[in-house]
This record gives sequence, C-alpha cells and structure tokens, in this order.
Amino acid sequence: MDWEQLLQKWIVLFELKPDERKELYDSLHVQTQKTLGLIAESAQEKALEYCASMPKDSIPIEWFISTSSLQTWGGYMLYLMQHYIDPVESKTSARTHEPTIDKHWVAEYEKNMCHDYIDAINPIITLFLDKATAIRTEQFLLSNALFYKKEYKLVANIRNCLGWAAVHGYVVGLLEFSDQNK
Amino acid sequence: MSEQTQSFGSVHMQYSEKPDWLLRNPVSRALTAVFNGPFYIASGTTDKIYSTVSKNSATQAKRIMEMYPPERDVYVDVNSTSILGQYKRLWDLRSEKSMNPLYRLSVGSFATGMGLFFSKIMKRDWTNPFNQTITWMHPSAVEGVQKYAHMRWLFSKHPIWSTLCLQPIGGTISELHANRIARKYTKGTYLEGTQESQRILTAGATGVAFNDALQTLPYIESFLRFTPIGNSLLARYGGALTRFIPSATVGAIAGIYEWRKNKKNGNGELRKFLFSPAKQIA
Repeated sequence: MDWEQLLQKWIVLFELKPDERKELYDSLHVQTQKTLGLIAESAQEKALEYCASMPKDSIPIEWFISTSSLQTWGGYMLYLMQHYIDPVESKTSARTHEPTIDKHWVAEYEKNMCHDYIDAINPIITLFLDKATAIRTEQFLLSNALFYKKEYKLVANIRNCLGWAAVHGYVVGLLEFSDQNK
Repeated sequence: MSEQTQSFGSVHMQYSEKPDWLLRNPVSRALTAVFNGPFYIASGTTDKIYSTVSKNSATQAKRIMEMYPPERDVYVDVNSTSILGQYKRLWDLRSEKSMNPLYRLSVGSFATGMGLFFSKIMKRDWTNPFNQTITWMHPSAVEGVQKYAHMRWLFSKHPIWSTLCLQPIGGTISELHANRIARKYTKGTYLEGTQESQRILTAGATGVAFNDALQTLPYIESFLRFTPIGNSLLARYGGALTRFIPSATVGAIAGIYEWRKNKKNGNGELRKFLFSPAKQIA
C-alpha cells in the first residue's frame, strides 16, 4: 500500500466539488447511507450533550451536523479508497446486504462497541482518521469563538465525537465488505 | 433513523481517551489551526485558498495560544517516525557527497542547525541550504544560538535529538518533494503553466517546506521559552511564520486544481483516479 498517495488522495477527496460528492454519496447503497447517517447523528447528539452547559445560541448545531456527516462519510470513503473500490463504477448502490448493514453495525456496537473491527484497523489508517479529526477540531475552534475559553475537557470530548464518527464510518466499510466476502 | 438514534443516547464515545499531542502543544496546535483549518475550509479556486489562509492568521494563532497557555502544557513529543522519515528523505534526495556536511553539522551542533533555520527564515530565504556557506546570520539568531549552545551535550548523548535540527532543513528540501508530487499528478504540465500556476507552485512548495520545518518549532519553542531572548524571538517572528501554508499535500492539491483547470474534469476522471491504484490521472 502506498500510504502517502492514499493520504494525498483522501485529502483531495474533501476538495471535490459538491456535485462530485453528491454523485459519490448517491452511489452508495441506501442501507449504507442510512448507517452512515445514524452514526453521524449519534456523534452529533453526543457532541450536543457535551455542550449542554453552553448558551443555546452559541452551540453550532449546523456545524455539528455537517461535520459529523463529513467525518463519517470520509471514514467510509477511506475504506473504499484503500481497497480501490470506486462506488460509482462498482455500483455499490445495487448490491444486496445480508444482513442489512445498519442492523449489523448496531448489533456489533451493542456487542462490544465494534471493537472486533476497530482493533483490526491498520494503525496507519487510524493515524489518517486521527489527522482528519484533529483538522476538524481546529476548524471547530476557528469558527466558534466562544469555545476558545472553555475547558480543555469539552474540546477533547467534542474531538472524541468527531473521531468516533470517522472511525465508525471506516468500520461500516469493514462490515459491509466483510459481509460481501462471506 | 430517529428512533434508532434515540436508543443510542448513551452511546459510549471514548474510543480513544488519549489526547492528541497536537491538541496539547500550544505552538503546534496554533500552527495546525491556522494552516490546516482555513485551508481545508476553503474550496473552489486557488485564489480563495490563498486569501483565506493569509487572513488574520497571526491573530488566530495568538488566540489559540491564549487558550492553551504554554505554562499549562509544555509537552515535548519526539515523533521519531516523522523525524526519521524526514531524515530518510534527505538521504533519498541528496547524494552522499552533499549530505556529508549536513550530517556533520547535525551530529556536531544542534545550535548551528537551529541558527541556520532562524537565519534563513529571517532573511526570507527559502532556497536549498545544501552546498551553501552560512555567511550571514541575524544577530538575534546568533544570540539565541549562543544561549542554547549548552544544549549540545544532549545531542551528543542522544543521537535522535541531532536529527531535530535536520528537520527544518529537510523541510526546504521537501520543496523538491512538493514539485515532484505536483508533477506526478499532472504529468509535468504543472510547471509550465501561467503566472498563476507559478504562484500556486510557490505556495505549494513553500507550504510543504514549512510544514516540515515548523514541525520542529514545538521542540525549539520548548527550549526558547526558558529565556527572555527565546521568548523575544518567538514574539517577534512567530507571527511571520504563520503566514505560510504548510500542508504535506498542498502540492498535490495545487496540482489537482491546475489539472482541473486545464481538463475541466467532465468525465469523472478525478474520481476514478482517487479510487484506483493509479499514480497519475488518466
């Protein structure tokens, strides 16, 4: 694996135009979309929980929604890129899932928070996801001035939510394509 | 989805409780925020990237540094993988003959390396330091170097530290790397573009160089903060440093933009490239 090129391509992925991103998203199976949405929404809800002590109008809800979605989508796309799976070319939207990926992810999460899969992630991939999370956290701090003065723990918790979303986006890829191989 | 989400109200998020050292180190944190933040937020034209990054960068750095005051969390992390990777890159890019002087320099004197680093920045000199004689050094840098000359013992005892001073120099060398990345993705057309592409090239090359160079700053900063002259140097020149765009991949992205401008990307070639093992865009 050419890790350097994978990282470069992955970062370029986030520079795609909106219509190109939409094409990629639309090419995913509806169950995959649903699962990624579920993860993003969970991360967002948890982040908002952490922000409960903040004034309501200072909480960047829209930012959490879009960023947690981007993180989850990015994690999933990283899996596809690592395995050279072009979702448009391979017509992933037409594939069948047995069992459905969303239930599978929920089952794995309830079992042991998907650690069977998380532990299998290549450490370099973990670094990539971590780097993305660090960048999103910096973006968060840059665009939400009130959080500058808050305690470190709050920012660390928000960072964990974003990281969680990215890792589980990647896990969805693992789950989905390990299903395929069964 | 909402029902399922609600049942996930107590979802356990702490898959990793260890904070990233980037979050803990004030200078690194500030630089990451200033450089990576606006860069990734920006999308569209290269002009937008350029203007977004330069906007208020020093102010933003200052604000983030205030959030994480150095006295609270001075945290030195020897990221040996990165350092050794940089070291290897030096060996890969340079012949042994031209490597030798720097090798001696690194082993013999961290202070000189640090002085070279400051000297080049203060002179706004982004040229390749190999085979150059150090003929001029900013007086403040000289003073700073003298203050820290006593640190040599550390590097003589721990060779890994000696590579720290090579990293900024290696950063400049990685300008070559940036050009190589850009060419790789654009089959050489990148360098033959308009004035605008030259500007992108400059931004990309400088960015890559300084990404690597500034990774060293946290270490240097940790030392500098112990004395007034060190603090003075940081206060005076730290802001200037933040006006560059370090990103290990900025060269590649600039190349993609340039390619896109020429090719208009109508047939999903870029997407196919991203999801394929291909080294170049078709």
